[in-house]
Amino acid sequence: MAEVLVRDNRTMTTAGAQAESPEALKLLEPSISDFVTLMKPRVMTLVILTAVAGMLVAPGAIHPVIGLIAIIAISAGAGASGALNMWYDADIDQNMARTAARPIPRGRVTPDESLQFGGVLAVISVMTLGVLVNWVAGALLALTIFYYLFIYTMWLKRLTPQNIVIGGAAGAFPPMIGWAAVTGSVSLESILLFLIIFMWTPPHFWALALLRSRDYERVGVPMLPVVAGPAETRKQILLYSIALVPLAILPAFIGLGGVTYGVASVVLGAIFLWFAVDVWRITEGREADKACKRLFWFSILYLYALFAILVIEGAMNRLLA
Amino acid sequence: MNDMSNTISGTDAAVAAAEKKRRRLRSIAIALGLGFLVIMFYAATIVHLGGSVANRSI
Repeated sequence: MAEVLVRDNRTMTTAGAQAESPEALKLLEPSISDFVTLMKPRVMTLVILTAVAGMLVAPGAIHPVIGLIAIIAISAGAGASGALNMWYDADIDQNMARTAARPIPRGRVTPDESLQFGGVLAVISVMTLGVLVNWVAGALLALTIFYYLFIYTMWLKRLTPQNIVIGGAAGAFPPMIGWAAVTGSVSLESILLFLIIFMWTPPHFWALALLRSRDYERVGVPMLPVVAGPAETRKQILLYSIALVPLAILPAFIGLGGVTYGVASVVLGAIFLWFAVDVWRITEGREADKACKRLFWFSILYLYALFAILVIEGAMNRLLA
Repeated sequence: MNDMSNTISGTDAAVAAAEKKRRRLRSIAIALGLGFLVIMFYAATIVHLGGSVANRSI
C-alpha cells in the first residue's frame, strides 16, 4: 500500500517533469547523497559511537583491522535498517513535515530502489560481521535489523502507543553488538549498556512527539500524546527519566566507566531530570514547547556525552594497558 | 500535431538518457561496493592468518 501511494506520487512527479521540461528530470535523478540520507546518517553516528563504546569497554582484545571491519559492518547494518524503514514508511513520510524532504517522498529515489539498497546492505553487513568477526555479533546485528524493520516499523509503529518503548530496543542493540564483536558473547555489562539506551528512547522521542503530535495524528501513527494525551505523556517522560538516570550511573560502579564517567553521569543525569520535571510541570503555552525542545536536544547531548566518555576512557585504558 | 509528437519524442529521449545515467551510476556504485568488500575480506584474511602464515614446512 505504502509503495503504491508513493509510486503514484513519483509517477505523478515524473509525469509533471516530463510535461514541463527534460531538464526537470534532472531534479529526479538520485545522487549519492540521497542514498546516504536513506541510511539516516545522524542515527548512524549514534550507532557507531555506542558500538565503539561497547567494543572498547569490553574485556579482551580485538585486532584493530577486525575492529574497524566490525564498525563498518554495524554502520552498514544500521544504514540498511534506515533505508528499509524509509521504504516501508514512505506513505506517511510524505505527509509529515519532519520527513517530507526524505528522498522517497521527494521522488529522488523510488521505493523499489530503497528496498533493494536496504536489503542488499542488510545481507552483506550481517554476513561480513558474521564471517569476519564472529557469529554472535552477526546474529545480534541480524536481530537488530529484523527487530527494527518487522517488529517496530511494520508492526508496532502503527499499532500501539508503546511503539517506541518496545521498538526502541532496536536502537539499543549496537553496544551489545560491539561488546559481542570483542568477547563473542553477551553479558550483564553489555545488557546494562543496552538498557541505558532502551530507557533513554521514550523520553527522547516523546519530547519530540509532544511537539509533533498533530503530524502523527494526521498520518495515524498512535504516538503516546495522540492516544493518551499530553498529560500522560509528560508523566511517562518523567517516570522513564527517573529510571534512566540511576541506570546510566551504574557503569561507573561496575567498572565499565571511570571517574570521569561517574561524575558526568551524575551531573548530566541531574540536568536531564531537571528538564524532565520541567516538561511534566509546564503544560501550557510557549514555555511548555520550549521545555520539550530543551529536553529533546539535551537528551541527544546526554547520550552522546556519556558514550563518548566511555569511548575515551576505554581507549585510554587500552592504550595504557 | 507534428509539434506535439516532436515534443513527446524529445521527452522520451530525455527519459531514456536519464534512465541510462541512472543505470550507469548504479553499476559504478555496485562495482565500488564490491571492490571495497574484496579489500575488506582480503585484509581480514591476512589478519586472521597472522604473520606466521609463511612459516610452514614445504
